[in-house]
Amino acid sequence: MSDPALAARGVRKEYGADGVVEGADLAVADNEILLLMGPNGVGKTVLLSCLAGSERPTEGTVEVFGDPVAEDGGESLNFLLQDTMAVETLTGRENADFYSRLHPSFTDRWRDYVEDLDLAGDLDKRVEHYSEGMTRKLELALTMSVDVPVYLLDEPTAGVDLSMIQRFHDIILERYEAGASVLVSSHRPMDADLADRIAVMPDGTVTAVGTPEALMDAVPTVVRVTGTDAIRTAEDHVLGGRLFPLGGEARGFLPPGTAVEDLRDALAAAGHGAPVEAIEPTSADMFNYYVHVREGLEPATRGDPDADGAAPRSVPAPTGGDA
Amino acid sequence: MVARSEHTTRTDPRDGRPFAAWRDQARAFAERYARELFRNKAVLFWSLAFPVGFYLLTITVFYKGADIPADVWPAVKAGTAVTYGMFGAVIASLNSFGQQLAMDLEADRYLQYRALPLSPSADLAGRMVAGLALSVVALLAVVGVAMGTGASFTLAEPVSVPVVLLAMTAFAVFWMVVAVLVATVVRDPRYASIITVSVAIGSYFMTGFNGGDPSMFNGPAWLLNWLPNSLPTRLVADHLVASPAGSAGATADGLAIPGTVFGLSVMAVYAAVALAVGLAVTRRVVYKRGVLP
Repeated sequence: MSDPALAARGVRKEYGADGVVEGADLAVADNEILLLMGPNGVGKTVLLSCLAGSERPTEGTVEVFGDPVAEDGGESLNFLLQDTMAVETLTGRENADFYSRLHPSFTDRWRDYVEDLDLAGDLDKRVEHYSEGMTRKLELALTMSVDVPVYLLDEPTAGVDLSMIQRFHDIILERYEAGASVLVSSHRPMDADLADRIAVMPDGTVTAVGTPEALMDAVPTVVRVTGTDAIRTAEDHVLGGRLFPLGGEARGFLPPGTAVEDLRDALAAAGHGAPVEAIEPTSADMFNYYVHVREGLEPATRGDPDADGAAPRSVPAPTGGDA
Repeated sequence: MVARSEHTTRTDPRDGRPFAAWRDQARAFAERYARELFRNKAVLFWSLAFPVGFYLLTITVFYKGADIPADVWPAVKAGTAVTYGMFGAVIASLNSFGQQLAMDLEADRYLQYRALPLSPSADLAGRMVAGLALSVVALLAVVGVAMGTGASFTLAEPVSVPVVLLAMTAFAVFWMVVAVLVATVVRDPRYASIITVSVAIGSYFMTGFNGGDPSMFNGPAWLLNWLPNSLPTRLVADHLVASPAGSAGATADGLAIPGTVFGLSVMAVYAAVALAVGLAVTRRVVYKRGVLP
């Protein structure tokens, strides 16, 4: 089996006494899109920085195509680090000119990308006058214009309008179809649509890795509860004791062996006749389960994904890019 | 999606010319930093307006009532302009350059750059070209304003222009490396600015206006022909100001003007040592690589 495009083993990164990344294992197969999913502040950016070679791990190893990342010298990968790439006092065009000279494999693809992203008309404005979404567009266009086999994208869609996310995905998929491997960090469930596999990072470690289908299949029954009092009562009956509000309703996960009727009866007994129903899990439910609920559960109730491509809590031997 | 055209790389990565990649990177950094420096109003104020303002204040207020013969007055103005111009160049090299680096460090921009196949020396060289350009403009700004006020500048020898440029280059390199040290230790652009402006102003006054008036220097006068701010100032003044009397301290207090070869040699040593230190710090601290390639 060939080396994975990118592999991290036991990566730990400390700043002073604080461990930000605590023993993360992760591998990105050749020609695969791997989504690293987790909430803000859990060390995704630090892990990506270690994978990109811009931070040296306190412990552990990082390899690109089987060689230590430090020896690669940035030839095989390109790293989009949110909010640091674009120089605010330069225009978009000047930024493109700057980055085009930094990497010998920079191509003029950025001209097409800025057209795709509706940014071409704003290239002569200084980045300090860009919105957050416009800055993300420029960062993505410049990053994906470099011809390298591996891309690491730190929350590329953060702050981007929902209507624009598909175009971001199209650009990433274009590079993927050209044979590249892509590691994308995100806390937006929508980005799950992109992934061949998803790695979940709810804290300083990677706790589950699997195909979106395998991870989704392992999500417990999702229930939707309506009404403030009913939601408060239902929290005693769902996994992790937590429901996730959305408008006037909230969603949670039923423990194994618990039926919707059981919860409905419990709410009725408490005097709440509010509707409770089981619903199909969405990407947002999957995100909430793996990021916010699963780690607090006893192992027996976790329902680990075990399908093809899933390899929770281990360094996976990647199964390739088949989505 | 638009139809894709045939995309081309800017530089063929397989062309086996590492110098071409280094040159492209150095140029990219030089252009970027020059754009940033010359667009920054605070930088322009401290590097250009502040020294020009002080020059005008000096000749209109501080020299008012001084018993200066009319035939010496143009040379006095010229000598004064050189000291303030070199002060502006110190501000440009030290404060503006250092603040720019500290801002990049604070913004974590080097997390991005360390993942690229970048040459730290190309980064440093590009930064220095931009800093040197601002330093030269800072000197020329005061000289230009001074000419408008009647200051008299004369090239002492045919080689005076290259001598001035070499002295300025070595001088700027030294102060820019001091700025690299301050920025990498402090990392906060606000503190870096306070420290570097303090160093620039302190060194100016403590060395008798960058060696322009040795009588104001409390140390041994000969030291002014060795210090990295006063030596090049005196050298530049010697090559640009016709009359030594009352100008940049040329022969005041019996202090000999530094010889051109001596002055350039000392500055070359300063610059070489500074460059070695600056490159080592850039590689080790900024890019987190080994000191040696």
